Amino acid sequence: MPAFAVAAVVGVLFFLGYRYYSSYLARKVYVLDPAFVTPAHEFNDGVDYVPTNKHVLFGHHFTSVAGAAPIVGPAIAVFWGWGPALAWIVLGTIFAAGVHDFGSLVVSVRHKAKSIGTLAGEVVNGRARMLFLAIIFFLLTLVNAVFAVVIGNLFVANPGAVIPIVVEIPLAMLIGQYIYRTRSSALIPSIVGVIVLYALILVGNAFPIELDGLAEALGVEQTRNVWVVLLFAYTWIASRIPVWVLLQPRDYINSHQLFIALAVIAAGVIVGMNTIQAPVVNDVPEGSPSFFPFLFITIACGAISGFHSLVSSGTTSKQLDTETDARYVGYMGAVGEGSLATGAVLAATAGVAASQADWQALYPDFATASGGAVGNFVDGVAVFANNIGVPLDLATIFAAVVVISFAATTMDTGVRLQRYVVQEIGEIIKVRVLARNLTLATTVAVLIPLAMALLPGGGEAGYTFGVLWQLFGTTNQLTAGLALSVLAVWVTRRGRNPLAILIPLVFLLAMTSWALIVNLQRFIEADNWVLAPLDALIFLLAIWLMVEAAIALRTAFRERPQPGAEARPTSDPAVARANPTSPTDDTELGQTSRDEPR
Amino acid sequence: MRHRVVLVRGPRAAAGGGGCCSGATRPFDSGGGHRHVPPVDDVGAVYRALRAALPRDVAVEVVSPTNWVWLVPALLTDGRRRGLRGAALWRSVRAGIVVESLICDGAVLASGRLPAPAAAVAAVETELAVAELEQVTTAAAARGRTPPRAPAPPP
Repeated sequence: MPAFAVAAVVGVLFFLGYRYYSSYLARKVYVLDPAFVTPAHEFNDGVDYVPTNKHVLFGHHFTSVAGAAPIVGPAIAVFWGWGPALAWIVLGTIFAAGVHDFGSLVVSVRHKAKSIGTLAGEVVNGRARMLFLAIIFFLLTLVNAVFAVVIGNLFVANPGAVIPIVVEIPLAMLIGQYIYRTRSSALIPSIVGVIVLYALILVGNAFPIELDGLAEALGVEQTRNVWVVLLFAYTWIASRIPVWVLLQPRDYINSHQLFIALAVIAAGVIVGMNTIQAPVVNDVPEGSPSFFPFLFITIACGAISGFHSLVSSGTTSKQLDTETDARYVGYMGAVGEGSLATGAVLAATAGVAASQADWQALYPDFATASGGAVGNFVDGVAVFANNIGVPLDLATIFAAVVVISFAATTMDTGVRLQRYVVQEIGEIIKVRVLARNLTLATTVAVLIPLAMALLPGGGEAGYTFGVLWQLFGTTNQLTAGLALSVLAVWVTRRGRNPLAILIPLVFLLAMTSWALIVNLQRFIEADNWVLAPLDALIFLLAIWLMVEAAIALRTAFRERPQPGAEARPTSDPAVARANPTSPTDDTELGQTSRDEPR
Repeated sequence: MRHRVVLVRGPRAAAGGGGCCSGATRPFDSGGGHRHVPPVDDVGAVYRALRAALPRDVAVEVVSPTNWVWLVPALLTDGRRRGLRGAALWRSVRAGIVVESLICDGAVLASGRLPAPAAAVAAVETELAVAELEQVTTAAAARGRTPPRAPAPPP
């Protein structure tokens, strides 16, 4: 099957999903009102709250949600064949991620642009806020652990990428300082930064950095673990310095890299006309995890990611000009992420291997598949880059640099965000030193994922990583489950049909719980007493989430207004803007279901 | 929308980016150990002044300097609409993508540092008046009539 044809079919399906399904959601489920005064207008301060052109806002939103996760998951999941992986990406994007990202944005906009954590407490109940905090704590722990392992593995496999990535840090800081001091454009210095970064690939290729000797001297069995420790030492420092010193200028460079990588994949697929070498459905060896339920937690970002609800309800909802823009910004953000995941599937099935036998050699069992997935993606993208004339050795380092840059930025922000969560937990459990002491909070935020990344998990690199990745996917899906619960309760209380939200919610919770139970059984049988309690804890969170969602939905169904009581949006903007008590703010639907008064 | 005013955010303002599972997000809105401090630059004050002074059909867009995918085509389109070509258009785009810039219908009114809100409003209003006059002149020329006289500039 030509990769180009698959990409074209996926593109058509995404278009149809946006054209028809998002239109249904906008009209019948979220009932968008063009006259609703969004928080961007209500609290317009020109800083955080600014009514923003929907194309501008889409750019901000997409670059915030796109990263390394939609690359890693699909590159592992093709182990079950490209058919199931691609089917989940397409169906998940259209019927789950679109509903979730779009809905989180709408509900946040209807509640003064509050974040999903706050909304969980307000729309579901007070306990849901605590549940959200617990889930997000595990999610961030696992995000930081898996990305440290991803980067460590890539450094070991591509020592030529070390110099460009290390030099990218002072380079980004220089760019930030240059822009700040000269008040010049961000575009030209960041383009120069990308050029310097890619020129350093030549240097890196000539002087590869390997830490095998250091690992041996320290008595560390896997060189990757030395990299993991160095990475966490770096993030401890990086997460404590102001955002604009390093993180923000590095985002300037990464925003170019995102588009360059997408363009290279698209051009390489078209020019090379590579065909997919993986089977549609892979006949996996006995004892491998089955694609039901593991596929659905292996691909989280790219099909549905709970973390998008944080972005939707974080910065995006504060800048939405009109409520109707939510369809374009939220749903298309999910489609963009799905497109990136599709590119990852193509790289790991069409780019990486010249024949089916070659591909089978890369994906013989789940341990090898998960351990080598990112490397396979890198090699696949390198082949696509080679199709357009880049020498293969340099193209491989280029692809590794792109993935490491994304993953490192994710770790930077992940540790920073985890620090906030640790401080929040410190406040709740009334341990003032944890809430106020930045050094302690950062140390806790770094040490826990570091321990996870260094876990003894089965000897070979791949096994530990595959399991950690699945646990990360589980917590990401639970975050999505919590956000979908908020949406379902909100929609039900307004007397609308919540089926479009309930179906992905039930599916996600079922798959997540099923996978957690199977894994728990496996960990206990293997006497893995580090991962078993962690799995059990996450399973308890899943049960807690199901109970809270069921209670909240039952109450919402009881309180739902009778048919015909649904408020109709007015088509006259002046009516709603001039009259805040008009039906457009849903205030007639009962006290409990009321949106925030304007 | 008849006119478009673009404000480019400062070098330390919040922007998109950061990758999946990151970005400028917080789990909760308030409380806890983390207190959100909005970035301080002149863009907010200028934006509020412009929005209060300008009619609704003038779009005021606040854009991150990193959002070049939107910013560059917008500057090119608006510049071309003003009749800029070649080197002049290039200079206009280069000045427009600088942090803390103010652009009105493709004309770069400030680049690298924003004027005070009142001065920014005055500059934009003058620019809009000129643009309106140009439109009237062009329309009149097309119909073969004499255009009205330009209003006297403010003292």
